[in-house]
Amino acid sequence: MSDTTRSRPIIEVEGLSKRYGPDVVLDDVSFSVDRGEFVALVGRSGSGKSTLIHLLGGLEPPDSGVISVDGVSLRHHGRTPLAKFRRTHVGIVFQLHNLIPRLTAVQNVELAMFSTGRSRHRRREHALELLERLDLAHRANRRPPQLSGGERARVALARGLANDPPVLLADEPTGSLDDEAADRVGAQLTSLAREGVTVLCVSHDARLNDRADRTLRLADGKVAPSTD
Amino acid sequence: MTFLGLIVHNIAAHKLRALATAGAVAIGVMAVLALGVLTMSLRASATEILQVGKADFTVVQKGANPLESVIAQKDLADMGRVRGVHSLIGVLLETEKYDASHPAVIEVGLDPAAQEPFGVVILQGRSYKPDATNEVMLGYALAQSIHKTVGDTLVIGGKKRTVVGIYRTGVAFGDATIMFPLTTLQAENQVPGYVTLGFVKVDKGVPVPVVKRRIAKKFVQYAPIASLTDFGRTSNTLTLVDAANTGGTILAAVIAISGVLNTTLLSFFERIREFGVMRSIGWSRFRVIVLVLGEALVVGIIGGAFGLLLGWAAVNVLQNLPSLRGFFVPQWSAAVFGRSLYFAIGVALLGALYPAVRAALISPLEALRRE
Ligand SMILES: Nc1ncnc2c1ncn2[C@@H]1O[C@H](COP(=O)(O)OP(=O)(O)OP(=O)(O)O)[C@@H](O)[C@H]1O
Ligand SMILES: [Mg+2]
Repeated sequence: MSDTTRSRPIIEVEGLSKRYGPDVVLDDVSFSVDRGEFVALVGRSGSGKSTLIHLLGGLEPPDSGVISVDGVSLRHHGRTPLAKFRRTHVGIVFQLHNLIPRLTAVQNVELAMFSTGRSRHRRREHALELLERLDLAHRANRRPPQLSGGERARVALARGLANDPPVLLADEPTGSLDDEAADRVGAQLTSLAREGVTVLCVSHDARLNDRADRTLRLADGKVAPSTD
Repeated sequence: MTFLGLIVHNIAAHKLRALATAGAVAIGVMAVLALGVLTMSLRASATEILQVGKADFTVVQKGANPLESVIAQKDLADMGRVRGVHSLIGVLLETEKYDASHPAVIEVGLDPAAQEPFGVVILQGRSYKPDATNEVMLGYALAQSIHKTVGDTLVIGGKKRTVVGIYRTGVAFGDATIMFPLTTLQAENQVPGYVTLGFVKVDKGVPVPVVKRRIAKKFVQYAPIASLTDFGRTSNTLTLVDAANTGGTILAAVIAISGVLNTTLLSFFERIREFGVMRSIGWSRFRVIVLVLGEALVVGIIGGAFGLLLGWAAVNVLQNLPSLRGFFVPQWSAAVFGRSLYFAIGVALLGALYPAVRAALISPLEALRRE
């Protein structure tokens, strides 16, 4: 990796707009995030935080604007390369977790690692490592309906990290956690960022936001650096 | 977890639906297997009829199946004078009920003098007199089946007859027949002067096809047949049997495919969210298709195995039906089993193709928004 690529922002958003029918959710948004940065994304409910996460994850096409994540320009992609993009460049943690209820926690994490060239044993081992790291080793063989909300959130986070993505897009990973658990997840995100993972994290949690390098606020379709 | 493990897991998680899908495949396979075996058996018994009589070829009425052919004896006599014909034996075939479990015994009308050249070997007793009206001989298989032997009497065709001899022909079909003097059987069936089949032997050194051609040219209402292929050309029976087999197979395929399609489509609607999750965490469309088809394939193979068992049972039931006993000797072959298995795999994949493609084409976010 040359110095120029290292210094270039890993997430670059230029003139991004997204509307649903008449509702303008994102209106000519531009910002960038550097490699290894830990950025908190805040804003009122309905301000478009999840929408932005989905756009950055290649799950939805923007109406206009340019998105570049880890050197991949999302505008020019057909659908199948987007699957590969999601598999190799980003990890997504959904606000509603989106775990498969039939599969155990560890199987849910393993599911993300198909088509990545890892052996079955490597997949299982890595999934268990991630659960361990999130203090969930003892819940590895439980299914999501048998887990608490906070435990589910951590399984979702483990799945987002399964393919060691350079960029983690986390939509309120601490939303349903108590203070102590939220703090532990916050510490994990901080140490991930220290390891070089770029973290963009939607959060209402002031303590988590304090850990972040900086905070972006979404309001009225615009992104601005947060003042508080 | 391996990919196959995931497939098996998904099937196990929806056992009832998997069972319904497997059932659709199994019923199709059962039909295909039973039809296949039935067809092969009918073909085989048609060949057997042709093989009775140690002839070089057989003459039948054009277009008729071998049991319904009608040949005038005077035409046969003319044929006997064709160059290259060594001998010509006329045989009358009729069917008659003997008892409830032998509702259609094949009666053979054959002149005693023609028995030896025809390949009939008398095992016990003697032949009937040429004009005897109450003497019959029994093929040994029939004799065993109805528990009669030389000296016994039996009633068939409304008349009491004495069994004077037991014979074999070397062909399973022939060994289950009852034999009468030709003139007696002709008189009783009101067909004096007519037979069913002519069995031709050619002179030594004369090529069979040459003699066949001569007869075919001179006697246009008759067909000389030497093989099953010839038979297929002159009679539409086998063509009909084949057509019924093909038609039945297509019907079974349509039913099985709709069954698989139905359950797989239902499963697709239930699992949209799940496919959305897979796509959103980086699964390619191709992998989603392989997952859905893989599940169908495994269920199809299970259904196919059940279908083979069911088909085997169905054939056994058919075989023991009194009306089919003797006519229907199941011909099992690896080809029939192979075809049934291909059928199972084929209908499973075809039935699951549309749901698989739909699963692959969903938009991940829209799928995730579903409740
Ligand atoms: N598929 C959709 N169709 C129509 N409107 C949508 C759709 N998805 C989101 N919206 C609307 O877009 C706006 C932004 O939604 P989004 O989910 O991004 O908000 P959010 O900031 O994540 O809110 P929250 O904090 O409650 O999660 C909302 O007004 C929402 O109703
Ligand atoms: Mg949201």
